[in-house]
Amino acid sequence: MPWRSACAAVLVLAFGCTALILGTDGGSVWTAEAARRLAVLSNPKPLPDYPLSDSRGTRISLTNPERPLLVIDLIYTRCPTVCLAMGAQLRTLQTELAAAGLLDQVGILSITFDPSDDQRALADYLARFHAMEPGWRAARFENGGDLERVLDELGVVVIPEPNVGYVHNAAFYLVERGHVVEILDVEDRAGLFEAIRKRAAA
Amino acid sequence: MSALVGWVDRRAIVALGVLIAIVATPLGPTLASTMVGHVLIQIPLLAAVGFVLAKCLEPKIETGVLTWNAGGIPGVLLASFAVAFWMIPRWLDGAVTSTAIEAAKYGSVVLLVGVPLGWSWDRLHPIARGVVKIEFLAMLFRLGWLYLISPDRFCSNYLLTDQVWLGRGLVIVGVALCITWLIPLFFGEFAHATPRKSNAVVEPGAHHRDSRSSVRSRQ
Repeated sequence: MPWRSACAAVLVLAFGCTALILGTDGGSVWTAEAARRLAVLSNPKPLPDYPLSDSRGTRISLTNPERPLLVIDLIYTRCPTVCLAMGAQLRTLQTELAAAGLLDQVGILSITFDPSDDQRALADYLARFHAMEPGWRAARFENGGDLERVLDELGVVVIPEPNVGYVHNAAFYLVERGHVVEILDVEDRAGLFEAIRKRAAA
Repeated sequence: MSALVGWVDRRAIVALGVLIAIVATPLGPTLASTMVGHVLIQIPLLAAVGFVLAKCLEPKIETGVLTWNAGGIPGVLLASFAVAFWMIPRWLDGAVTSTAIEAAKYGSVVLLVGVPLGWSWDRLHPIARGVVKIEFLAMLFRLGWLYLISPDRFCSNYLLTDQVWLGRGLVIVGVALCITWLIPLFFGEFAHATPRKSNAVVEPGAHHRDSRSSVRSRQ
């Protein structure tokens, strides 16, 4: 009689451990953020061809970029915290890329998810960081619904917060030939530079 | 119809009512909109539903389940793994974003946490029960501490302040459970067991008889 229960216990152990191992990708992925980053590494995510317009009113295509590599960050121009940090990091990145002779290989695109950001706000945003244009552009989706779909596709969660603006899982998206190939931490400029250098050389 | 109502336990009707309220009304998503509501109210409620339903069904399937669940060990193991799984931020987060994961959570917390606990908890040896309680308390305090001090968000769907509130909530529940589980040790059956033992030491002649009888009565 007890052997049945022993079998059941062993089965439960095996099933439980398997579930926990699979559920965390072998103990390496504990958050949804880590999961989406790992997912694009093994399986580059194609970007949809939704039209954007930038701070000068020029149309931008995500699937047919002007440069081989594209760094995207999602922002809102009133952001008092993490978007400022991202902007400063991107400005430094541009200097580093220029020093490495890679500046013309990499475009930077800051996309706003705040519907109240107009052309003017986007231009001010670039000016604030002394962005090297035209390599760095700030843009918004021309059709409101497109934004939702892209955020959804990329796994970006934006939570409106009263009096502050938005809280969002900020990151740098490295795009190659219309595919997101890497998602990096906003503090990880060194990692981003390294990823660009490797892909530009290849 | 009246026979059916008589057959179905009143507790089962309440449990099913709670289940339907969570799964099919805005109550479920409302609870899940805050981290505290999700982890400390919605998930425990779902587990409680399973527990109560299992209790109601118990007399009808007693022998079948018992042969596979001696001492309640496999059932408690199963519940522990299922709880651990839903404590992973990735899946808690996923349950907010994806309907499929949300449905998996509803089903598994009821069927893999609540039901096995209902069929196992009373059968568990008191020492094993104590171990499970201590491990559960440790989990509450560990996670609570982690959420209180972490500067990073673990879930994309919740604000950092929300996470800190969950940290506080977990610690508060941990303290409350500590007190609830400690009180019986001072006033309940354990408290009565002590003087009998000390009597036995004072009167050596009574020692054998007393200790043997107490062992027998416990079995």
